[in-house]
Amino acid sequence: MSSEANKVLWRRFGARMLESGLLLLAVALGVGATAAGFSLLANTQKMGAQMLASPAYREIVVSTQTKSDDMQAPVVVKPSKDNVVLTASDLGVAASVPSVKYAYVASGTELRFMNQKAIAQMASMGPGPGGVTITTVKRFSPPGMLTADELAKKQAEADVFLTDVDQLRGTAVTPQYFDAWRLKAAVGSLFAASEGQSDSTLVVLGSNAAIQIAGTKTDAKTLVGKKLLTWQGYATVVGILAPSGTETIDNSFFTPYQTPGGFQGEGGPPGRLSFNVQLRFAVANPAQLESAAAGLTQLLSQTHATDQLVVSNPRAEAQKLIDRNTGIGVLILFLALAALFIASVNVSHILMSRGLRMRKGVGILMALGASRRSILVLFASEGVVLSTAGSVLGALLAWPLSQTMESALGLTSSSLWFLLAGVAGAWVLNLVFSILPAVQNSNIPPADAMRAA
Amino acid sequence: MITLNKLTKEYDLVGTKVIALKEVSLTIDRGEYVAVMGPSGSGKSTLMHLLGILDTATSGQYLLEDYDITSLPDREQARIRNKHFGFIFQSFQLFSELSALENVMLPMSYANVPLKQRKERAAALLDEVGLTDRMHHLPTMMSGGEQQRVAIARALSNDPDVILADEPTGNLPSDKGEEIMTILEGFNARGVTIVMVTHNPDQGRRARRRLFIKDGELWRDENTMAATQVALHV
Repeated sequence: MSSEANKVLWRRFGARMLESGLLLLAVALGVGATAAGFSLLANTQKMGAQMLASPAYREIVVSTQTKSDDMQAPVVVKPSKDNVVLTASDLGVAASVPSVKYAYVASGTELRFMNQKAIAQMASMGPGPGGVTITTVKRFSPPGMLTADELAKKQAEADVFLTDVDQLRGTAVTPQYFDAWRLKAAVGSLFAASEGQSDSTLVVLGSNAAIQIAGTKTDAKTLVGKKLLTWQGYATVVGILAPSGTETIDNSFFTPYQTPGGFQGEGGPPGRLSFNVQLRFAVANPAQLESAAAGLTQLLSQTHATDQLVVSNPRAEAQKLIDRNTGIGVLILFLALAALFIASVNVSHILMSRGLRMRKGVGILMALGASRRSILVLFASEGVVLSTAGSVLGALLAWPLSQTMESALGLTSSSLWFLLAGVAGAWVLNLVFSILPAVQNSNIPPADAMRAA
Repeated sequence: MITLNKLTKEYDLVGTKVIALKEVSLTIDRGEYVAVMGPSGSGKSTLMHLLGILDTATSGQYLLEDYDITSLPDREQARIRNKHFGFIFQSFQLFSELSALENVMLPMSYANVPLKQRKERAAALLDEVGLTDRMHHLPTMMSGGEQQRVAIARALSNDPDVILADEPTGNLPSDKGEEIMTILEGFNARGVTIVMVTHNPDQGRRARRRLFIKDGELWRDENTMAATQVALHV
């Protein structure tokens, strides 16, 4: 390609800076919007697929009716015949529904560790209401608040581990939970059903939680078999889970779900005798969720008042959310593509008219020795530069735009690759429109070009 | 050097066939100075376009140095135009974005001449046409005569065998036209073949051979120096 011919083209380009700048901006906006739209849609699909792959979305959750009035009800309510109470023993209905593979209870709980810092905090708070010092600890020997010396003695015991961590959130589960969530122990073991009602508190730690308690990854492995001193008593570590890839699992602990016993208020009326729980039933094939839900509803209705039972399918709710977000993503991508198309057509139109204005010049260049190919390369270079520079600018616009749209739709993570793929796709589309005028302007016989006005 | 055998050019204008040039046969030898004359629309420009391979004939044969170049691929046609022909146009056709020097350098870049050599040769040619002190001026800053001298330097940049000049003085006052004719005749004296379209009878008489075109046909072929005339149509 002739360097002098290039100078002709680029000096003409420079002479129309305003027009060129507006074209650049139009391409940037079209590319930016398209890339952000594509990224939004792709991230929606990716996160939706990841979400539905989670065992949580193979579950049917059975609970009892809750009303806003319940919020105003006293904490301790009298049991009545009309009250529907679900217990862990109700999990047995799963045996009669073939599509249900696992049945379990998963209930939030926490461990509050006893250490120097916690004791100092408690001591600074002084006696509790009524002048009573908090001494109630369960299965803890010796009970009561420890002095610093006593704590040091505990720390010296080989089977006790005092952590600097204040508290840890976890889940009380029945054993099938681990099978349903495909969780394996990396060190030690998981607990069995028979250990659910044992007198000692057993815990299985998530991989990150173990490191958090022990301080290092190496020390984390030595926790198995150790007793952790908590305000509720000792918690014995029986196993540490292999990393699951799910942050909430890796950062927490699991303890056997125990059916809570009755509570008798001192000298008062009898308190709650049974505790209501949420029952969870997991299927192997998500397509069977609806039939399994119907089966469970029918079976539970034989023993419970159906109008107070709530059988929910979180997957259906999640699918609705994904479908809604997908619809919004498709709409945004469609509008962005329309903007890109309009920008590209304008680029094409203006490059075409620039070529037409230069048609006689093309004839002269051909007379001086330019082939059609060199004319094509000459004009195409203008389109390529315009399209590429516009796409780079568009990529810079697309990043904040996609972040805004994704956070508006509640997407928690976004992939830069989707954004780059969107930019690349939009660039190619725009490039086609930018090069087409070059093809047309170069595909003209020299004599015809010479005759141009 | 150039031989045309029954060269015909037809155009299809909205279903109507228009014959722009009809079975023209002629030979132009190396070093000749030929004037092509005739009324407007007679086919002079078409003949020049065919001679410069800016257009292809509908039928007939075009031999350049005994090679048939009637129908060649575009790239080969471009190479021949670049190496063998220099073009001078009535309205100069310089690129207004380029300086005089860059305009002259342009055809050499298509011949892949290195930049340094391009600059040296372009400067030498501009010096030869008397524009030493105007090399870096843009065409818009030059008079018509100066622009046409730049165009002549550009036409000669790749040392062509033939210069095809389409009314080179048509847009110039007579004194400037005379300057251009003198420069062209100087190059012809050094062996460059010149084929020039002109409406000016005086300039036509200065050529050693005159071709008269009428209605697309070669009407008369006159050798003014030998005082021989060949009337092709009576």
